[in-house]
Amino acid sequence: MNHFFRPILFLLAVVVLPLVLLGWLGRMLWRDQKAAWETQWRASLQRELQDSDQRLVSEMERIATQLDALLAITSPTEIAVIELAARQPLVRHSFRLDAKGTMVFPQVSHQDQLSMMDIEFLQRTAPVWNTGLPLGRGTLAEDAKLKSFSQPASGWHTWFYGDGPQWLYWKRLTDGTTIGVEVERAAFFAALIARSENNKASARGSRLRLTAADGTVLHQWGAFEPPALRKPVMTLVASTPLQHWRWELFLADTSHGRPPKLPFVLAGTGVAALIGSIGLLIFMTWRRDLRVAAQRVSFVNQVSHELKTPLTNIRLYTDLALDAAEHGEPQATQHLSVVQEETGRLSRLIHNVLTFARQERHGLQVHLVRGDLCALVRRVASHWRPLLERKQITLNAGGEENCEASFDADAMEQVLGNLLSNIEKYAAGARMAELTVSTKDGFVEVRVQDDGSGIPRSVARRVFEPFYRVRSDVTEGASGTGLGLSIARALAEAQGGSLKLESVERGTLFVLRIPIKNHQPA
Amino acid sequence: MKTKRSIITLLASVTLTAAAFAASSPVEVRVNLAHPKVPADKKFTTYLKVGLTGLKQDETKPKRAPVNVAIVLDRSGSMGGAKLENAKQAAKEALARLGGDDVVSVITFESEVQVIVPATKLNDRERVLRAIDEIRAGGSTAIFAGVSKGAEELRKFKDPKQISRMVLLSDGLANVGPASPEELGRLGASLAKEGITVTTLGLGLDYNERLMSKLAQMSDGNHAFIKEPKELASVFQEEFGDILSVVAQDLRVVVHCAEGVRPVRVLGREADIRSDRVEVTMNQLRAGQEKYVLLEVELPAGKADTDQTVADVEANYRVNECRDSSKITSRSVARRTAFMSDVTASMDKAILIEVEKQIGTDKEQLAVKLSDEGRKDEAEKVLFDNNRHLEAQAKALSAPALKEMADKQSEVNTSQMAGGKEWELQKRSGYERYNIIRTQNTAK
Repeated sequence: MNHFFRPILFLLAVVVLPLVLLGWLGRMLWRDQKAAWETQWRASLQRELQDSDQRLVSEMERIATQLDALLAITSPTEIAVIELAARQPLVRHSFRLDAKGTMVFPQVSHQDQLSMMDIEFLQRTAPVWNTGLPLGRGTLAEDAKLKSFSQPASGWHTWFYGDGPQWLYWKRLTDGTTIGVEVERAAFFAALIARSENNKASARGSRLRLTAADGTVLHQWGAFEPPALRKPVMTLVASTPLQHWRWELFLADTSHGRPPKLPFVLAGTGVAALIGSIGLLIFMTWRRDLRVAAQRVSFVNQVSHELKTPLTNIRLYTDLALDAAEHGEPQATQHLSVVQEETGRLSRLIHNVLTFARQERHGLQVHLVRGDLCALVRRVASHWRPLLERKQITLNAGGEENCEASFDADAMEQVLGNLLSNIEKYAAGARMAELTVSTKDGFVEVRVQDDGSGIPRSVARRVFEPFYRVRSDVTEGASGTGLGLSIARALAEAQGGSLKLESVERGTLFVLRIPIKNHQPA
Repeated sequence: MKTKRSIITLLASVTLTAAAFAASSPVEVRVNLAHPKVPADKKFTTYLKVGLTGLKQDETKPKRAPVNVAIVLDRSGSMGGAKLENAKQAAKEALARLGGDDVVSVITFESEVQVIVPATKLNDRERVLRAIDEIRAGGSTAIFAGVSKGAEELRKFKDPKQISRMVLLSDGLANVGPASPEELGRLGASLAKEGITVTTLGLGLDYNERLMSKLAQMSDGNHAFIKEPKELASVFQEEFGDILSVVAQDLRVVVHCAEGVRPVRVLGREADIRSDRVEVTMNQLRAGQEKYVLLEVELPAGKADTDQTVADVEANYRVNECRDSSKITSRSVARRTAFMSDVTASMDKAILIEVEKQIGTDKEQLAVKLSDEGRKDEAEKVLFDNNRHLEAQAKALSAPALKEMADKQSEVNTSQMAGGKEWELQKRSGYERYNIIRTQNTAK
């Protein structure tokens, strides 16, 4: 049960949880980013409107400067004041107030002196004069009291008449009198829009509007025609004294309010992949460690078992031999040969375990000596023939008679012993085993073949791994440590050779190659 | 002795022309009274006519004053097709009359305003023509912005020696920016102060006639109703001819009424009447054109066979290519007589006919205004009364022109009752005999 749930729990902990967390964090970040982007975008639109407004303000200032210059009359005569309206495009009518704020031009007190234009002017501006004339700070009467405040002041004054706001521009002279003009609204407005370029609005798909309080469009820039009911994406109240006007910005495409998604997706995928692969790596390592641990445990069990069987046989046959010897029975020799055989098996087993332990610690040490490898093969074959015959397997040794090579005799015996022992143990149903020696391409090649059930192709690569045992009916009931082939290959390679499992139609074929000349540097 | 003096003054009162004062001047000033002889022992109301005539210029004169023209074209959706194509063609043909020293700018407007050709000397004629060719229709009608931009382009090369003229063509109702006739009128008045004259060409029946004529009138320009797009070419030609034949600018007539004489009103023109001083300004005067001021004055009562000085008249104007104004002064004097027959015999019928025409036109405009405001009944009544008055005057002054005017108005009145487009067409066709309507009282 543990074996099944642990990895899943582990995966949950290491991969899924961080991924969920990552997703959540990503979403939060994306939301934040979107909000920040939106704010930034809105700020830029706001700035655009402010820039437009600033241009309007500076144009207002330019006009104010112009009017200031017009009103800079040192001693205003009536004719000079009349001329203002007659000659100046920006002036509709002019007026003059004395230091007390009483109008001296047009002369209200002499009704018969007033022209039609004067009368109309007074009608239009009645709201201004009726409220006590708050031109600038406070009423004029108050200003007149502040004689010390002799600084000439000037400014705009807004009032309502007809269809909207109207403007006066006034200037207080050093003697306390005020001279002012009623601004020709149409001309004033024409000047404002004639000089207002807005390339930015034209370049993009946008429409900038300056609208009056009642919503009528005063002027507009930009080629984009917003649908009738579209609300502006941004608005701004124009600066004083045009505070009754409003800037409105429409955009054809309002999706600028979203940050680019790609970096987010890329970063997210990257981190997810990183977490995934780290999780996978840890998981694989963990699985391998688990397997190795399990193999070691089974190895110890196997080794114990392997040690026990020959020992039991040795004890049994030693007792039988002793018994026979006491009674002088001829079977004693026979019993002792079994003991000898079992001792050999025991010794091989211990040899293998030691070799493996040595290999694990500091690699394999071989002492290469030149000699006749064929003789060694024949010797091993003759040693193994009776053992195999007991399992009804006939061992044939053949091939070349004489072959010189550099090899470690002990190692070679161990390698061949392991291979033949495998046949004895695992080659179920085998009747025949063959040992063939040949020389090829600078190698002595020893082929070890049986006609047993063979090794499945799928596990062919893994048979050389330590502790690996083909888990099937082949190994059922047979003993083994799973070290034999691993050590055999390691020893062959230590001698500069190789051990390979070749595929054949029936049975198993191991090919062992040992170089004739020693190329091994060590 | 008394008689002698009266003879001299009588002579003076009939025609005291100022031509003698400036033989080389291109402007002739005439001051006339509708009644040179007025009845004695009672107050009497008469009309003072101050006429300014542009004299034909010497044809051999090598150079005329350079002109500065802004063509402001409506390219709103409704202008699409024949209208805009004709307008473009007409503009291009008209430009052929200008020379390399003249300045031209082309502005188009729809929902927004575009400067197609910024103010430029006409050296590179091809570029200007190409730009005009590329104009396409679409969008709404921002007349105010178009005029504002046009004026700004004219200002770029503004020179008192030049004649500045804006030619505005539109076929629709202003629907972006200030759009009331009053507002556009104020803009026109303001432009006039800068010496910019706006000629407005209304194409078809859908344009706001009051807005367009007000803009022209207040800037001392012309207004024309153009029924068919194909007429555009001739209208543009006429307009450019008008521009090129201007002889004087910044005309200012100041009438100082004598003691006891009360100025009542000026007919058909904006005037500044301040106690005994009357001032009227006009922007430009063409060769062969007469522009005049009709001032209604009330003379005080006086004994028979005495002279009554009516007014001293001062005319200021600037001749092309001169920076300084020229000035012509003149005095008008009336003679009192005990016999009504003398008054009738001496009266200047031509002036009285002009007065009646002007009053008739004013009434007609009032009717148009009332009609536009939806007060059809009142408009009808005004026209009806005016009609009766004109017919009576036509008989009294034996002036067929007044009768004709009355008939025309009567026709219009009838069609107005029928209502709809027909009335609009009739109303405007009323002006057709002038082709270009001189919204100011002028005569060729």
